[in-house]
Amino acid sequence: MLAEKGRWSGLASIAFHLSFLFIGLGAILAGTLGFDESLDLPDGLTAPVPHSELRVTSHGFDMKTVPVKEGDRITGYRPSVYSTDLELTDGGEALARKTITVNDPLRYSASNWLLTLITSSKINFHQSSYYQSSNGYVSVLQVTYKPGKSLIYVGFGLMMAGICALYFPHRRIWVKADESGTLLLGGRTNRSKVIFQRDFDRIANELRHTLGKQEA
Amino acid sequence: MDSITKIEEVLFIAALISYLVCSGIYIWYLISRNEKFVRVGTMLLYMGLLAQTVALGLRWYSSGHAPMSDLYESLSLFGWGIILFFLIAQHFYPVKAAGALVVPTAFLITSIAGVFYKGPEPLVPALQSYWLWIHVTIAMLSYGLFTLSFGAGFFYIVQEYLLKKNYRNVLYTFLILLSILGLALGFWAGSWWAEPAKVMDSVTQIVSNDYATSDYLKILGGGVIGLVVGCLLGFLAGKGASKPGFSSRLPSLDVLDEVSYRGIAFGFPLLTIGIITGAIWADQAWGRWWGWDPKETWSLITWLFYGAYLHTRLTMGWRGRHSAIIAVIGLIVVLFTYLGVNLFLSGLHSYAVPA
Repeated sequence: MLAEKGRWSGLASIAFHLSFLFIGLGAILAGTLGFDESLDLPDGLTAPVPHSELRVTSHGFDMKTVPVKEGDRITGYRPSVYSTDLELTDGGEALARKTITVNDPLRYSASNWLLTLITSSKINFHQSSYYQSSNGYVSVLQVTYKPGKSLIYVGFGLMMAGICALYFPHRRIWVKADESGTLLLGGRTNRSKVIFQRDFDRIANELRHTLGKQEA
Repeated sequence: MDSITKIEEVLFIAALISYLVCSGIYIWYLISRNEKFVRVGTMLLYMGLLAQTVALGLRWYSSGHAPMSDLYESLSLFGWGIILFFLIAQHFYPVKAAGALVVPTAFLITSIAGVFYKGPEPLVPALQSYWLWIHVTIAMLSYGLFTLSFGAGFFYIVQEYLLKKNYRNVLYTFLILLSILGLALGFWAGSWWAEPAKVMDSVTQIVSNDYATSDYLKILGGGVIGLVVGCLLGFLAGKGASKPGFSSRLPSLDVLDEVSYRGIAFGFPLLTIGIITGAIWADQAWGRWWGWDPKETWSLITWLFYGAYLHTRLTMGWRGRHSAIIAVIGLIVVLFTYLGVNLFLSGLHSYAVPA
């Protein structure tokens, strides 16, 4: 007779290591077919989006500052928030508009959401930094296009699922009764052998205890 | 606002004093096994934890963000977490003896936080995201578990030598470990003492350190002082532990091996999730998952290191002393990832404020 627990535990390790493949493939796809370019956009001007026919316009760069203090003395100012009011156009036709900040990029896709999810064909406009020129502020954008993003996320998912499942080991216990009425117990596990040993001994002891009572 | 900052400071110092006193009480407990006295220590520890909790809460209120942005906030939170986990563990398991190592560690970390004290400040733009507390909390939990694993691994090595009555090696174990820790902490304190000039890249806004020769001398000096102090403490602790009776005060080899493994078995998934959340956040902020920033590189090294631990244990069947040694070395890698990177290398995780 066999009792077992966590039969699919062997898959956990496979899933975990398979995730490397997905992440690697996604990174290769993004690296070869995608792009990651820096774009300097002066206040109020329009610039072509790299590797495409699209154009992007800044409708204004905005910055808030906070004082930098040394004791009670103000020694300078540093930015607390900065943003660019960005508009994406295609031959004069407005496609999208958003005020982007450092952690809040503009993401645009021409196709429907399902196709976008599969091919991850989004162009992203990240607020990277800024600098001051003689004509005022210049917003620095990071324009990225990353096919293979969904593969990377599948990889992340597999990695997390696999690593959690690693802690549910595959445990098996066999019981065999022979002619003379002796019970033979055998067990096998693929992980956490010390704990299994302890549990196995406990089960064997309980069995001995209850069987002993029945006989008496 | 100023009075809130004052109250925060007072509470923080109160917590520090209580941790210092408790360190003494718990070490005394390991030596004397006086149950009544340690109960007073536990009560004092709860009070210290409460004071630090309120201090962190006030910090959250006055800065307007979770206390995780600069080194003071991060280290204070780390010390707080260690005490919290220890008190929970002590409530459920008979692990009071471990307090002799855990409470002084938490005191040390919290007092280093005090060294880096800075008034509350709003977050730099890159950190203004809900990912901050998710990413940092998970990373901190994994560091905490690796610390636990280190402690158990270290006592495993000591316990094994004690059982073999090899008292000279007990002394050497304490001596080597405390001098390495002393050296590392000394370098670290030295780099804080050096105060190198800050240079900011105008495009990426990444702040890096510009060291002069005198700065290097100060770092070296800090290291030498740390090494000497570590050697002395190691000698004293090693002499104290090299007694036949000390073995019975420590948990058994099986328990220490298991606890050390459990710490990594749970810390490793958390570190993995911490790195993944970091990658997702980086993609949102800068449009890239991975940029070989020093912190990212070192977290990968840490991850590979503990991955190797799990492989040697689960597939090659390493146990006991070998595993314990890896767990002990692991903490040095973790310490470099957590603190060394911030102080010696530049990058987005350096907690430095762009000027």
